[in-house]
Amino acid sequence: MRELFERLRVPLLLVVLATLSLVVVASDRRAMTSGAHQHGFLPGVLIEIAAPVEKLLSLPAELTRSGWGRYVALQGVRDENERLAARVAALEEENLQFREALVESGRLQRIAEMRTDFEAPMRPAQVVGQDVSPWFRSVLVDRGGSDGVRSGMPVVTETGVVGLVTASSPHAGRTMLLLDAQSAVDALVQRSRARGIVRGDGSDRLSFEFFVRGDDVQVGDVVITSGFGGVYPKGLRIGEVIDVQADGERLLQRALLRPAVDFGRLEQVFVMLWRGPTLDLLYEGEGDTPSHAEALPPGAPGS
Amino acid sequence: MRAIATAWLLTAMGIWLVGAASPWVPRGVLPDPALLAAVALGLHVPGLRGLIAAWGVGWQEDFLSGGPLGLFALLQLLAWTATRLGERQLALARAVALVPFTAVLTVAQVGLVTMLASGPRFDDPRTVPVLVLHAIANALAIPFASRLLAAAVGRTDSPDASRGGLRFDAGTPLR
Repeated sequence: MRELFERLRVPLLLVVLATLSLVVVASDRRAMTSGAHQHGFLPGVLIEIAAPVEKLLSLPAELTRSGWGRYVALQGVRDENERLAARVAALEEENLQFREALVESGRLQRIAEMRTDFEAPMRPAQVVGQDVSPWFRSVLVDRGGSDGVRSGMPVVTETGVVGLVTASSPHAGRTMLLLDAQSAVDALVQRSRARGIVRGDGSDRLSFEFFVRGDDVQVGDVVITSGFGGVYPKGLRIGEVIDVQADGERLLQRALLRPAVDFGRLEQVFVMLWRGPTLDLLYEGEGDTPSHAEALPPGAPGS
Repeated sequence: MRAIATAWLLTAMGIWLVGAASPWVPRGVLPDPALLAAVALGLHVPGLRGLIAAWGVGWQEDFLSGGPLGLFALLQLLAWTATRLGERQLALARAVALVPFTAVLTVAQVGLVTMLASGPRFDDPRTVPVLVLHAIANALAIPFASRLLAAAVGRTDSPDASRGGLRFDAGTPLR
């Protein structure tokens, strides 16, 4: 008996661990779709720990980027005038700070306008880490449940939609980007009002699938959220059409979009403390966020 | 215990390196450290220790990924099992067998990701180049990962294949 157990212990443990993993996968997927993800103990703990770890992962990239920029700037100054190098460097730094402040001010102004437009409070957040798997596109932000951030809330920048919070812990939140293969957004072409679905496929581009063959979609058109999906408010910029794949045989036509947001350089984002009606319904009973009806006055976009 | 800790540490370092390099490198070009570790464990650490180490390696990847929890733990468990089976049948100690085996394993893993977690869509023509690049990256990296783990674990004499008739006699053994 003992010998049999010795021989079977590896296959037995394999079955146990594989079953356990499958159960965790299934329950995590169910939690994601049922909206209970931010209440799960394990996901919460993992996200809480992952935030500083992912920050550490992105540190070399940040350091090299900033180091490279400074090196090039200083080399230019030295070539121009060695005697005034230190002075010029200081002025350049000051100038850079002013410019940064100007950009920041412009960005904040646009965010303030967005906030007024959508009547939803915005919570600024820093991106602290990116997904390590090439098959999922998500980022981790440094705001979580203690800041009012909950699953199902849209994440934006001043240029457009970033994605959706899919899980949160007290101090961090995981955001699924528009680029993720699981992402789908009901959208409109701003010019012609042609309607369709914007999908991610894991690459750096988005595809816009529209149904009516005669719909007017042209290169250069801007695509915005329609608000019909009940996930994002209406009017948020998604991207610009860069290619239309005309196929007379197919009912479903497709256009390729360049996202409005530069996902490769995401630093600061804004979480809209608002959940659309669809997700509100999905998260009903969680009691962790004001319903969209409370967050949005009647008649506001997306309501 | 030492083998498990070593494998986890090496994987953590690999994930850190890949994470640090990913902003500059096109998607798919960087290998998957967890898969490499699971295959290397399959080659060099048999039995319960290897199984647990591979499972833990998968959890490390789960920890830093947006996919469902437990997905990569399951995948690395299966990768370890496939390597154990392949090691006996195909003499994976030889690079000529190990390299294509890892490439095929990468494609199989991505297929499972798609099945279990809405991963990349195979009907999209843009998925295939990334997948091919990723399979090549993993395949090219596995001989080095295998040697590294073998050296770190200190076990360079895994059992010979039980069915010698199915061995490929091609090239110098890795270990």
